[in-house]
Amino acid sequence: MDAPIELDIYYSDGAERSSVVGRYHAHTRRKTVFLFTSGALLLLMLLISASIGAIGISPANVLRILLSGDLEGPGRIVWSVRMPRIVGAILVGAALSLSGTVMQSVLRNPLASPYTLGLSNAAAFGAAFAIVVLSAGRADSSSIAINSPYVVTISAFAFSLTAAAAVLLLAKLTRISATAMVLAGIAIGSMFAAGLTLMQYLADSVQLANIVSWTFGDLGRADLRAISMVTIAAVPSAVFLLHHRWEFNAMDAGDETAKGLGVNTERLRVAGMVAASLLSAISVAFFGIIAFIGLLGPHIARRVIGGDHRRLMYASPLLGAIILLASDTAARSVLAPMVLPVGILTSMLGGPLFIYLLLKRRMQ
Amino acid sequence: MTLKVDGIEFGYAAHSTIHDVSLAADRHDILAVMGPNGVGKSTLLKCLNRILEPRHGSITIDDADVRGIARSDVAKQIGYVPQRGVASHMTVFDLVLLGRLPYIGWDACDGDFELVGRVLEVMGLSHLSLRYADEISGGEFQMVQIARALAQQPRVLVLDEPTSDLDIRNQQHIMRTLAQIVRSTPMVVVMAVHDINLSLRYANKFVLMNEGTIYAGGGKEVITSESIRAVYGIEARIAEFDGTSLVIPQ
Repeated sequence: MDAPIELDIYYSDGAERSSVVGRYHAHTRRKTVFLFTSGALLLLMLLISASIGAIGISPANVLRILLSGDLEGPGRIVWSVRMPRIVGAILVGAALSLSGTVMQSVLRNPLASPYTLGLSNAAAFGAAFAIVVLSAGRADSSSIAINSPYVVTISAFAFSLTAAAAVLLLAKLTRISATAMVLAGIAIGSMFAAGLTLMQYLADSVQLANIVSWTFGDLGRADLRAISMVTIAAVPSAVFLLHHRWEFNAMDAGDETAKGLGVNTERLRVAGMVAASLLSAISVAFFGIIAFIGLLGPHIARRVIGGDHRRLMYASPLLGAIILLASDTAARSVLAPMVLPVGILTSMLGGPLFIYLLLKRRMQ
Repeated sequence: MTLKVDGIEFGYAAHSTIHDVSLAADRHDILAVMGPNGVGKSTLLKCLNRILEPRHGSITIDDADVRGIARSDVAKQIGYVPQRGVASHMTVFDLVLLGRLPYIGWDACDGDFELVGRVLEVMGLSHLSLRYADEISGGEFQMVQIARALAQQPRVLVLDEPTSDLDIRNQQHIMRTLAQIVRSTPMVVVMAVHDINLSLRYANKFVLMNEGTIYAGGGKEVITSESIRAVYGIEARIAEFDGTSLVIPQ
């Protein structure tokens, strides 16, 4: 017979650090370095973005303005024109990316995102509904404008959450699998897409222009109100999700494993979806449809640091923020002085980039 | 350390999947649960740590009822390895660290890392600790799953067909490692197995299930030609070879 193995897992004797643990910590430090590097990159991107525009301001000057709070001359441009847009990009990029990360984990589907689950389509329908039926949009003397942005935003938000609730309710009532939940999301999304088309058909030409311009995600709508509203919704959701990062890891190992580790998987799945939906619904309601950030951020982050939510939940929003800020900076400068809505750019570039990531993984 | 299961019943609506299931095991026991496919072995195992809530009956560990306590407290007593675990894109170390989930507050502490290091060494997984779980072999992943369950510091380790997808070398490796660990640890292993000969070699208690309940339970003596015929419906001879019983189907 074999000799018994001494497994002293019942005694914590403060034994000296084993080499396995040492190597693990060294490995972990590399991932932490990646997080800090991403943070530094985001700050650098912020300086570059704030320096680019009709009036060039050097990054060094931007830094001085930001640190001193100077509101004169170029300071005014940086603080009141460029910073709201930049902060908006960082917030929305992080929110959509975190939301995608959670949806992909909870639904066990790498293609789950606010967009693929129909939340964006529902928000667009909600905005169109407000513009056409609640007549929240009309022609100004000189330009097309939405005269009650509140109504449009609230309606978009409400419909977006309705879509999320419908997916969840369907899952709850029929006990369908996580995979089927994604299909349900696609079905509900296409119903709202049809509704959006109907609204466009019923709209007059001004309303139609309003709907189309709302649908393009545009960070130009960032102002103090939008930023504070998104922050108010995003911070509690993010804290909740981060608090449960270990449980999300457990769910990734399979529901039975998670239950065996004491996780209430049904409750976490619903709570996670609610928090993720809130994050994306509030972003879409204020800024319109910005596709692919909810896929690109999480997927690049997973590729680099792995699927451990203890780090992924920081890395993914950081990367989402960097990508959206970089895209928006490009959208402002490629056809300057014309400013492209960033939603067009993320879709145009995000699609090919995503296919590239998939192919590269396949090659490996 | 004693595990007692008394009169467990589980089912949906009027139909019961398992009923009147009672069994007992003491520390250092390896209890093999056997029976044909669909007889309720997995259901029974899932009832032990309340992945499925039994309708009736009690499960006690050292006279403390498992059914009256919080899920996370159950996880401190019972480690569970499912038949099909999902290998996620996490390092082996991080996956085993997940076994500390029932114990941690906001984050893992030094003691948790040390314990995971020790479990990995005992299971012979140190060299894999920084590999991603979705990039190692099936046999290695099964060892990782058992390591994760051991990191829970369980008093009862529940394994659902731990060797079913493995080659003969990995089957031996896993069973031998488990047997060595159980002998030195105040722990009970309860496992569902299809391979009767493998369990005859490594287990010391046996439960034969038939039609959702227990047909026979006890030591080696319960594995007889009669009980095999009654449970599996096949003719088999029991032979002795090198001090181990062997079931040879006719």
